[in-house]
Amino acid sequence: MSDMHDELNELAGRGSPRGFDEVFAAAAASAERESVERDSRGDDLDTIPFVMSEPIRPRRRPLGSMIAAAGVAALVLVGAFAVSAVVGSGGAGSAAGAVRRLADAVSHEDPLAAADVLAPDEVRSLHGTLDAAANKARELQLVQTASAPLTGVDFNISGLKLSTQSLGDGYAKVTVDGGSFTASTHKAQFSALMQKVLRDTHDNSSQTDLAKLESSENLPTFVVTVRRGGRWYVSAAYTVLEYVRESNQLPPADFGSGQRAISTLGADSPDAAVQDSMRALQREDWSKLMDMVSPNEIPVYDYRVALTTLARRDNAQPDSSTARFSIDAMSTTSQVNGDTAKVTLKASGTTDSGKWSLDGGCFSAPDETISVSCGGESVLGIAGLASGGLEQASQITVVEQKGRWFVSPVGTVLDVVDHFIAQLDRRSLFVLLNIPNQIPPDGRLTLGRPIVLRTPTNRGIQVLTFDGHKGESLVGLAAAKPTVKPKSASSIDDLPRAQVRVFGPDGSELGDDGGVLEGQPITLPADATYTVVIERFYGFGAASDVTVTIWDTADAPAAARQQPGGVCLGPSPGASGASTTCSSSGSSTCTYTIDGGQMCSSETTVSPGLRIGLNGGDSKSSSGSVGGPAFPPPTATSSATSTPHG
Amino acid sequence: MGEGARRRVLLADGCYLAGGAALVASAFLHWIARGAGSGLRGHALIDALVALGKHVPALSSGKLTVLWYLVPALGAVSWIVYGVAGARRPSARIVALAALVVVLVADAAFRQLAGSARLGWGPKVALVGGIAMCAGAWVPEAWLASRRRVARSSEPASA
Repeated sequence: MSDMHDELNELAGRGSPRGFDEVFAAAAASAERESVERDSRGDDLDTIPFVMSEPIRPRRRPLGSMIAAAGVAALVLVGAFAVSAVVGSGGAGSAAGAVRRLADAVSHEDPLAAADVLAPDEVRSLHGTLDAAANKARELQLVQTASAPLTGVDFNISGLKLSTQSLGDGYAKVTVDGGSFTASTHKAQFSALMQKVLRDTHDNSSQTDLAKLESSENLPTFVVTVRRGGRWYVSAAYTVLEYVRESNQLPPADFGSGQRAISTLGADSPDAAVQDSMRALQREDWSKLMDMVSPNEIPVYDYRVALTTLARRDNAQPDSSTARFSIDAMSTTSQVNGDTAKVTLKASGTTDSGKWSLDGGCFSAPDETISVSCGGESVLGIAGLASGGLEQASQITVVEQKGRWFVSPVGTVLDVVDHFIAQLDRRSLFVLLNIPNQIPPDGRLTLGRPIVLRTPTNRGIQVLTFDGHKGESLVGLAAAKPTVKPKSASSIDDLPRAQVRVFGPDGSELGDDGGVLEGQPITLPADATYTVVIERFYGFGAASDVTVTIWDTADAPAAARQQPGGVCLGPSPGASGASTTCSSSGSSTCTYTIDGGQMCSSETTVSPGLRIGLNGGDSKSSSGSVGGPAFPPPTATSSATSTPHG
Repeated sequence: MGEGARRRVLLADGCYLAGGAALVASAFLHWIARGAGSGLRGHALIDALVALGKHVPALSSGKLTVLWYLVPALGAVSWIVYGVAGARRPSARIVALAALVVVLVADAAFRQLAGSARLGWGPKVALVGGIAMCAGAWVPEAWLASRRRVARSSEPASA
C-alpha cells in the first residue's frame, strides 16, 4: 500500500496536470523530432518493425450462403426425384397434367411413356407386350431400332387446351377444347423392309382438330382420368365406357363403387371366377358377369346401371337376336403364380344348331364355320403362323385383388398377343405384310408337278422360282381333303383353299385378280425368272394338306381352266392326249383326259377355288393319297363333274 | 482487385454456377428425343432402353441409373461447394472435374443405348454444363494471373 502511494506521488511530481490539447501537441512535437532524427540518420521506413495485427476472419458472403442453400435444396430435389422415380414415376400431379403427358408421349412417338401415364391396373402387363413387340420388330428387321419403332412417322399434338370437370372423388373428365394432331410419314426414314412394303406409297401428312373428333356424335372430345396412389392417370376403360354412356344417353356411373365393393365381388378361387363367368354368360346374367370382371381393370361394375339399361334396350329391339347356348359339362384347371392365375377351360354344351365344345385352345362350333383346331391349324387364322402352344395362349388370366379373384380381360388378350408376337417369324411377317415374294425361295417350280402345302413343315406357304418365257400363261388347281366332314357343304365348299401369286423380277405382282386357281391364267410379259408364291388359306374348317398343281395353260386339264360360273376354256390346244367336254349352264360337266394323268378316278365336284377330289379329296371319288409327297405323274384318264357355284 | 479482374472473377463464378444449374436442369429435360423412353427419366428411362435389348459394356442397368442421377446431384453439390468455399478452391475443382467425367461417360452411354441421332437436350445441356463448370473452376485462375503480370510490367513504362 505504501509502495503505491509513493509511485503516485512520484507521478504527480513529474509536472502539472495537462488536458487533451497539451498531450496531443506534445506527442506531435515528439513525433516530429523523431522524424528529423531518423532522416538525419538516413534510416529507411523498411527498418520500422511491422506490427502484425490480429488476423481478420473473412466474413461469410451472404450471397454465397444463399447459393449453398439453393444447392442443398437442389440436392434434396434430385433425391426426391430419384425416390419418386423408384417408388413410381407414372401418372401426373393433376388430371389435365396426365393428359398433357400422354400428348407429350404421343408427340415423341414414345409408347412406353404413353403406357406410363395410363391407369396402371388397366395396363399392368402392357409394358412387357410393348417391349416384346419392339424387340421382335427389330429382330425381324421391321424397324431399324427397337427403341424407335416409329422412326419415319411423326406425330405432333400442339395447342392443347383442356378443361377439367370432376366426376367424383378421384375421377375427372378432361375435355379437349382445342388442339391439333398432325401425323406425317417420311418413307426414307423407314427400314429397308418397310420401304419395300410401302413402295407404292408416298410421304404424306394430315392434320386433325382434336376438339372435333366426336363431332359426328355431337360429343366433345374428352378423356376420363383416375387418381391412383395420389397420381392421376388416363383411363382408357373409363373413357370408352363414358363415351358409350353419353352417346346412348344412359344413367350416370357410380364412380368408385366397384373399388368400394371389391370384397363382395369376384369369386373365391380362380377356377370359380371362370366357371361363374361362363354360367353368367350362359344365363345372360349381365349383372353377375360384371361382378366377375376386375373393377380396377375394366370398371363395368361402376357402369352396371347404364350397361344393364343398354342390354335391356337392345333386347327390346324387334330385330335383336341372341345366340343361346347351354353348358352340359365344364371343368377348369388353374396355375396360380402370386396374384395372377392362368385358367384352362374345358366345356361342352349345345346350341340351337347342335353341340359345341371348348378344350383349351380347341373350339368347335356346331356348323364348323368357326372351328379352331389344336393340331396343325394356324393361330388366329393367319397363314404362315405356327400353331404350337395355342393351348397356352388360350388360357384365361385371372387376378387376385383384396382376396377375391377376378377375370382379367386385358391380361387374357395380352397373353394371346404375346403368344402371337413370340410365334411371329420372318416368313410369317412377310405374308402379313403382303410381300411373300421376299421370302427366300424354297425351290424351283416344275409345271405339272403338284406342290403339297403342309402346315407343320412350310407353314402353308411355298415360294418357288420359275424361269418363264414371254407369252407363256400359267393356270392351276388346288385340292384338299377336310379332316372333318362338314355338315353342310356350303359352309366350306365355297371357300378357296389356296391362291397362287406371281411376282416379276422387279417385285411387281402379275395378275392382280389372283385367279390362277380359278381358271384365270396369268400371262408372263417377258423372258425372266419369276417368283411364284403358293399360299393356303386357313380359318374355316379344319383341313389337312392342300395340294396345288400349276400348268402351262396349253397343257392344263379342263378343270384347271374352269372359271367360277362354269365357264370352260375349251380343249387344250396341243395337249397330248387331252380331250375336254364342257357345258357352262346349270350343273356343268367337264370331262377331260390327260395323257398319263391320274387326277381322279370318278366324279369330282369342282367349285370355285376348291377342287375337292382331284387328289382324292372326296372320299367317294379319290384314287390318290392326301398329303402325299406329290401327285403321281399324270398317266390316267380322269373325268370331273363340275357344279359351279354362282 | 481492379474492376477488370473483378469482372473476370464474376464471369468465372457465373460459369461455375451456370454449369451446375445446367446439370440440375438436365434431369428435367428429354434425354432421348423421340421413340421409346423419350418421355421417361431416371431408372425408368434406363430400364426402358435396356429392356429393348441395348446395353453398355461394363455398365449394368444399376450403374447406368446411378450415373444418370449423379449428373444433377453433382450440379447441386457444385452450388453447395461454391457457397461454402468458392469456385476456385480445390474442392470446387474436384467437383467440376468429377461432373465433367460423369457427364462424358453418361453421354457416351446414351449414345450407345439410343444412338447419337436420338439424343435429346438432356445430355447436351449436361455436357455444356460440365464444360462450363470446369472452365469456371480451372481456367480463370491462370487467365487472371497472366493479366496481372501484364499490368505490373506496364507500370514502369508508364512511369
